[in-house]
Amino acid sequence: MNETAIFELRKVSKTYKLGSIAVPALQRISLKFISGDFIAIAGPSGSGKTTLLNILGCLDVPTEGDVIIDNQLIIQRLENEKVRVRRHKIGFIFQSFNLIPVFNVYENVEYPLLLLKKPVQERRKLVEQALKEVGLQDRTKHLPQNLSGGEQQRVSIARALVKRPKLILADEPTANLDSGTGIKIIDLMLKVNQDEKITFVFSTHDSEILKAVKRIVKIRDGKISEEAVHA
Amino acid sequence: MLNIFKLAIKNTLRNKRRTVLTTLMIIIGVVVILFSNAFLQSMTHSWKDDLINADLGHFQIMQKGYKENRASFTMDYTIPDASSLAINISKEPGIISATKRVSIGGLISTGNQTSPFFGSGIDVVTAGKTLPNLYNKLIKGKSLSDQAGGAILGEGLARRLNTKIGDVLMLATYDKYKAMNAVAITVRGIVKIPEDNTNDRLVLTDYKTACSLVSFGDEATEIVVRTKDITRTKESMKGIREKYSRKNLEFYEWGELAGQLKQVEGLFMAFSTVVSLIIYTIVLVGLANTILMGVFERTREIGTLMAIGSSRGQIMGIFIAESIWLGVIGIVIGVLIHVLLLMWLARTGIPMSPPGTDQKIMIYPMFNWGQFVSTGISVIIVSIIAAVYPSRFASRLNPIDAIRSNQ
Repeated sequence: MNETAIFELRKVSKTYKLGSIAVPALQRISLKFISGDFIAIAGPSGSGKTTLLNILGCLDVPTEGDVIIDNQLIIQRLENEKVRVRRHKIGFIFQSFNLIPVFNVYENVEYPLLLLKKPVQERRKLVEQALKEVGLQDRTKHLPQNLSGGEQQRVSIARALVKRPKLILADEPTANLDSGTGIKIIDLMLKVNQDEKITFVFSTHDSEILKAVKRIVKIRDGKISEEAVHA
Repeated sequence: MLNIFKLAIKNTLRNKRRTVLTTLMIIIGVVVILFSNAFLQSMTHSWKDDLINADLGHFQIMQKGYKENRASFTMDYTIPDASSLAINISKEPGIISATKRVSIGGLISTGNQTSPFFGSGIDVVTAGKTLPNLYNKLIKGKSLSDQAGGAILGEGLARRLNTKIGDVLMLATYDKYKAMNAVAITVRGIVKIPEDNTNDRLVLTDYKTACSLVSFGDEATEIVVRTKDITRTKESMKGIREKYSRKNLEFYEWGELAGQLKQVEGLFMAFSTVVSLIIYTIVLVGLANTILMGVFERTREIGTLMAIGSSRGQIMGIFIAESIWLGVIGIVIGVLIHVLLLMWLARTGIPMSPPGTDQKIMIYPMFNWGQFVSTGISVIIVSIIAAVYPSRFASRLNPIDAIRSNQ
């Protein structure tokens, strides 16, 4: 932990308003992530895990506090800046996979590269490499509906890592999978993390999965309740 | 840009039934707009063609002041030396022929029955070349010869007077000296004119007989001119006007003399504009509804695309591209159907009775590139406008709420 943090949440709070009632989701959370970190954010439902990931992913705006992505302070009111950060520096893995149903496996993985305006040859090389890493190189023409849940999540991982982002955020990536497939997905994420030195931050409340993770940040009622590092 | 269109095209294939219905609506709209315009244009074109080739020529020359008073068949504004003027003008560059004409109006009588008439005395030698459709509507008898005293009557007038070919009738009117005058004419032919008022009153006679009736020397009320190229009428007219400027003459292009045609053209244009506006509105609402339904159904996808790094502009672009794509399919198929319809009608034609007549004429609608281009552009614009609200709505979604939806 002596390395310099390249992602950071500084005293981040988020309060939602339900009518006239203010509901605090995060309360003055400070967290640092170094390059190549593999961190699980754990906690019960409603503890603020997803809110934390959304703020770190520049999808949500903190009520107060600062967000630093790749050593850059994110100015929350600048929509274009947040889009640029998401496009270049962050990959997302969703609980429900969220693949584009009309795109086949190849096209789903290629989409982030189209946004980065990569030339066609480079796109092909990167997509093939990403699909090989997740073991789906033979399924390129399949539509998401013709894949199993585990395969869809692997496509989702390939889509997140194809642009080699600095940070991949995964919101409960195993929640819709059986435990065996869930473990395989976590192993795959861990392998990508080690091979590519991409920082992974993911939320889960699955105790089996938490055993596979080195660093765990536990959240309860919007506050960090415990931070543990497995040997 | 390409990936936006690729996604848009694939999205339109998701709900095939909805896409087919929406496209069908655009196709029907395009066909109705193109066909109604082609039909109305062909109708006015056929009328215009008839007017130019049977009555107006490409342009006419009159004595100053005549046009304003010609409804009363005034004899006060005549062109002197009409024969030599017509001959000289017919020799001008760009001119095929010119013919002198005397417009007359008065009473026609069989002895037992009398009826009002109007018509003209034509130079039978040059009139046929200047007005090639002059005798097209002849249903009985033959055209006028250079033998003086012959006449062609409108079918309605002949019926009213109960006359037949070979009957001798009297034409009576005030001559240029305001004295009552009359001449005898022999019915040589009968024409059927679609327009009732003309059909019930028309008398065509030869120039000499008309001059004798109104006591003209070598005079005419107008010189009718046919050019080699109707689209260059203005240029031809300009050259002649400059050359004959000292003669106190006025020059009128055919369009300035076809007041009723212009009125009907304006009416048709207003009608087709209203029809087009109604259709564009229906297409706009239908397309907007289709695109908005797509936005609601794909909210989670919109959130995902935003998370991956699509900008709000790109999200808007996807839905606008979708709407344009539907519009383009509608235009292409609509134009294809329209062309096939025209090809079929080119053989069969559409029998029509022009307003105020019981006569059938055949209309052959024509393909008009200008109409095709303007309809195509309009449908594309309508498609873009239809997508503005839904795409704006999509682009303003909160990515987190969007991702959570439909889960």
